[in-house]
Amino acid sequence: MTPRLERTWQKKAHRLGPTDGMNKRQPNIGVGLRPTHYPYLEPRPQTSVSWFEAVSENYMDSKGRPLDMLELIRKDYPVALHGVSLSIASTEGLRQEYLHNLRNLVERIDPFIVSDHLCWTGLQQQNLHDLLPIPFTDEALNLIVDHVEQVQTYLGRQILLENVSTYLRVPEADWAEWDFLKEVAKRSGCGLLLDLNNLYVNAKNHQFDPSVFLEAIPTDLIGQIHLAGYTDMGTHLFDTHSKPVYPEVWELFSSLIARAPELPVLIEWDEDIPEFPLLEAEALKAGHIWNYHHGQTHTQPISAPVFSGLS
Amino acid sequence: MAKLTLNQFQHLFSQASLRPEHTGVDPMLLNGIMPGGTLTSDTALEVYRTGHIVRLTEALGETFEAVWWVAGDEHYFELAQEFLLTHSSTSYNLSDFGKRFPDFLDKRQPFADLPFLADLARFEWLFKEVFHLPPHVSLTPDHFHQQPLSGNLRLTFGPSFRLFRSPYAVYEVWKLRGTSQDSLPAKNWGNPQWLLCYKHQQQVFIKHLSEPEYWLLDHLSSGASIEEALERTLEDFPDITATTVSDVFALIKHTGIITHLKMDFPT
Repeated sequence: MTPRLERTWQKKAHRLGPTDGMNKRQPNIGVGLRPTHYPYLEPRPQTSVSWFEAVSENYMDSKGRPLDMLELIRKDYPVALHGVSLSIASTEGLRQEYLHNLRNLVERIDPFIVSDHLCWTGLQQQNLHDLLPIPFTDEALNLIVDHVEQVQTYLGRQILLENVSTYLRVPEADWAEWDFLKEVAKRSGCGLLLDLNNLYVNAKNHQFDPSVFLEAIPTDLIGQIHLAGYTDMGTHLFDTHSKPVYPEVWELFSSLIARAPELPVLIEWDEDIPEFPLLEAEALKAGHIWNYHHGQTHTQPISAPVFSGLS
Repeated sequence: MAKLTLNQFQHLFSQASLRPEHTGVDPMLLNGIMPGGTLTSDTALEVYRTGHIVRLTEALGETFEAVWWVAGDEHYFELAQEFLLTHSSTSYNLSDFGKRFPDFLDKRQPFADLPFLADLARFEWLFKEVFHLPPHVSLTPDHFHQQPLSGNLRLTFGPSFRLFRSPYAVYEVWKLRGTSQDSLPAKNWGNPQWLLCYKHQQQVFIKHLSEPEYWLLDHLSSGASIEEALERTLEDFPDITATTVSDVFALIKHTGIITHLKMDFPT
C-alpha cells in the first residue's frame, strides 16, 4: 500500500470499517437486494435484516427505477456494493469505463463495503460474464496485486475480493488457494470476502479439507462472509445460489463466526428466489448461530434494525 | 509440457467457452487443467461453455421478452444460441448484450410468417434504453403559458424522448407478451404504427401517433423551428388539419418531453 493511499484510508476510516454504522455486538446479517423483492421493500416495511448487498452492475448504468430503489433502501440500511465484472485477474488490464462508473456509484451510495471476485470474466472483446478460475501462480498473484492497488487508489478505499467456486483447476500452481488469497490480501491491502459456500464447493470438487482452508485465513483479513446454497450435479457441486444454506456450510460458518463475531454476514440467493420473509428466515438462522456463540444463552430472533435514518 | 502463461490460459479458456457444441478443445488447455469432482477435462470445460450459453440466453431473454414469447422456447433458444455464437459480448455489463439482436433478426428472417420480429426486437431495445435513462427536468405547462409557442421557437427534447415507427403493430404484440401464445392475433399485426416513447417521473409511457403527428415531432426533434417543422410536414401531408397540429402541441406541453425553448431572432 502506498503511504498516500494509507493516509487517505485513515482519513476515511469512518467509512472503511466493514461494520461501520452497526452495533458491533449484534449479529450483522444482510441479504442481497434483488428486483423481485422491490414491490415488497418499496413501502419500507420493518425487516429482520441489518443491511443489504446490491450487485454494483445493476445500478451503475441505470438511472431508472433500480437506482431509485437502491437509494430508497440506503435511507434505512447500510448497503454493500458487490460487483461481478471487475475482472481483477484479466491479463488485458482493467476497464477504465467500469472503474469510472463504479466510482460514481460508490460516491452516490456511500457503501460500507465495496467488493468483487478473485477471478477474470472473459476477454474484453469476448466477455463470458462468468467468474472464471485462475491458476494460483506467482504470475497471477503479481498481476492481481497490481490491479488491486490500481482499483483501491482509483476508488480511494479498500475493496474486498471473494473466493469463487470452480469446476477445474490448474495443477501447475505455486500456491494453494487459501495461501493465494491470503497473499493477495497481505500484499495489496485488500480484504477478503469469504464465501463459505464457494469454499465448501471447492473443497468437495477439488478434494481438500474445508477446515484447512478456513483455518489458514487470519480473521483480520476477512471483511465479510457470504452464505448460499449449491446444487449437487452428481459429478460435481455447482454454485447456483438457488437453495438454502447446507448444514456443512452452516458448520463452517459456526466455526468462523465463533472466532470473528463482528464480521458482516450475507445470505445470497439468486435463482428460484423465495419471498422476502423466507429469505429473512434464512438470515435468522445465521443470527441464531451468532447468538449461540456470542449472544444470550437462549437464542432469540435478531432484533429489528436499528439503522433507520442512518443516511 | 511447458506451463501455460496466464495470458495463454485465458485465451485458450475463452476459445473453449465460445466454441460450438461438439468441437474440439486445444490439447494445451486440456493437458493444463485438472477437472473437479468426477468430471473429465472436457466435461469440466463444458460446464463453463454451457454456463456461458445459458447466461447470455437469459440476459437476451430479459430484454427481448416479447420476441421470446412470439418465437416460442424452442425457436428462441436456437436463435439466441446462433446469435451469441456469432456476436461476442464486449461490454462489462451483461444487460448491454443484444444491441445487435434486432439487426440479426432482420438479416436472418427466421420466420416467414412473423415478419415483424426484428421490429419487435427494436422496440424492446428502445424500451429498455428509455427505462434506464435518468429523469430530466422538463418544462411544465406553466412555462408554455409564459412563453406561447410561436413559429420561430426551437424545442429541445429530453433525453428519454424517442419516436418509433414500424409497418407492423409491434406495440400491440408487445403488450400481449407473457399471455397465452394463442392470444397472438393472426395477421392483425399488419397495421403500421407510429409511436412516441418517453419517460416521466420514472414511468415509461407509450403513445400512439398518427403519421403526420409522428413526422411533425420528428422534424421538431431534429432541430427545426416550429415554422420549419410545420412547413416540412405540410409538404408531405397537405391535408393535415389544425386539430392534428393542435393535438401535437398539447402533447408537447403536457407530457414533460421538452426541456428548453429557444427563440430564433431575425438577423
